[in-house]
Amino acid sequence: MRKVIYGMSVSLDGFIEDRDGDLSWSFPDEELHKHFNEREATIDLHLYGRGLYENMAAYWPTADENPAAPQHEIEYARIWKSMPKVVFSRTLDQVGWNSRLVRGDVAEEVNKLKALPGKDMSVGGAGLAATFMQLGLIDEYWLYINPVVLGGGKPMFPQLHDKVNLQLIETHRFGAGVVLLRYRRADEGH
Amino acid sequence: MAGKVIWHISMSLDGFIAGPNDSMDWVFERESEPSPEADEVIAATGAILGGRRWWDAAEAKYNGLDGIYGGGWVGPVFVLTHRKAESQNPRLVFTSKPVTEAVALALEAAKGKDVVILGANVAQQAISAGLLDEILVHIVPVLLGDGVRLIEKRSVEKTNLETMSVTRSGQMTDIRLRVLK
Repeated sequence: MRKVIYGMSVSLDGFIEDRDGDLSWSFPDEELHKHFNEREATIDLHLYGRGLYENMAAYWPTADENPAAPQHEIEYARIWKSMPKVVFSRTLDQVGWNSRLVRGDVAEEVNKLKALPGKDMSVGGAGLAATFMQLGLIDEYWLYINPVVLGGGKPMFPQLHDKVNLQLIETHRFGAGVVLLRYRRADEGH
Repeated sequence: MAGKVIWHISMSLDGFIAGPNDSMDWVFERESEPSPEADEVIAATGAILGGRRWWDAAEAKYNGLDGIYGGGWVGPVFVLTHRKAESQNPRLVFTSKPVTEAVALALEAAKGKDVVILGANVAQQAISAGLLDEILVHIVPVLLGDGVRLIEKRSVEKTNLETMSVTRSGQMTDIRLRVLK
């Protein structure tokens, strides 16, 4: 069955944006960006909430037209444009860049997608991921922990009523000090 | 030469260092293998400094002084508190001094070894005062969803760190970081 992966760059204290919405502390260097690009080869569908879709669609479609853009950004822009996407939103009227708009039941849609043949799927941002967590739809968590504490901002994970045990499947340290921790659900025998 | 000031802490993936009701069972449940990084820090520790919330939980639930590091460490313990308290044990000192003086007291008592900070509140004060040198964090594979945050809101401004080492011990990941000042 296709897996749903929730992966984010996060501060040591658990935030994906600082108090002013700033992300510059998490901008990847060339090594990490290349890793992100390579990771896309294991994924054939992005599942987006409205906010993340709008942020991505505001930047990536033209990122490869910037003459100063480094090669790994140009490559990602091309990956992003051609990657099939599903956008979950009740307020958007239309979506572009190889995206399909879904207004209906999230669990029904995702379970249908999981049962289809294909590679893994990624989910973002935090709001949609929180809904997925409540519905038990996330199979793996990929945290790219950045060596910084922000002291507030938008958390990667929502408030939960009960704790969720996970299983560590990979630890990797990148040159710039970012640490990738990969987990899967502990309650399933994948 | 004075020792270093190190915050030694276990944290859930969602950034909590204690669960609801200051529970720490979620750490003990998942610890299975010894941590060489923790052993190294404990061996170099000359004194411990904590806040009142940490101490009250340690005393009520985790056997007080004898429960620190499972009884594997003996030395002076300083508790920073505004509430009056009297210690019956010469190893345990309550102090209401400012954090800078409390850290200096602990460093002096450590006699050249390191001072380890336990709990969140004093560590946050130490970061803000520019007194913290390193963090050793054990990342526990659990989402707690609620509890005491590593950094309580607005207690600390954005602070850059430098990753010194990343070590896996069983299901735990130990990350040691230097605080950039």
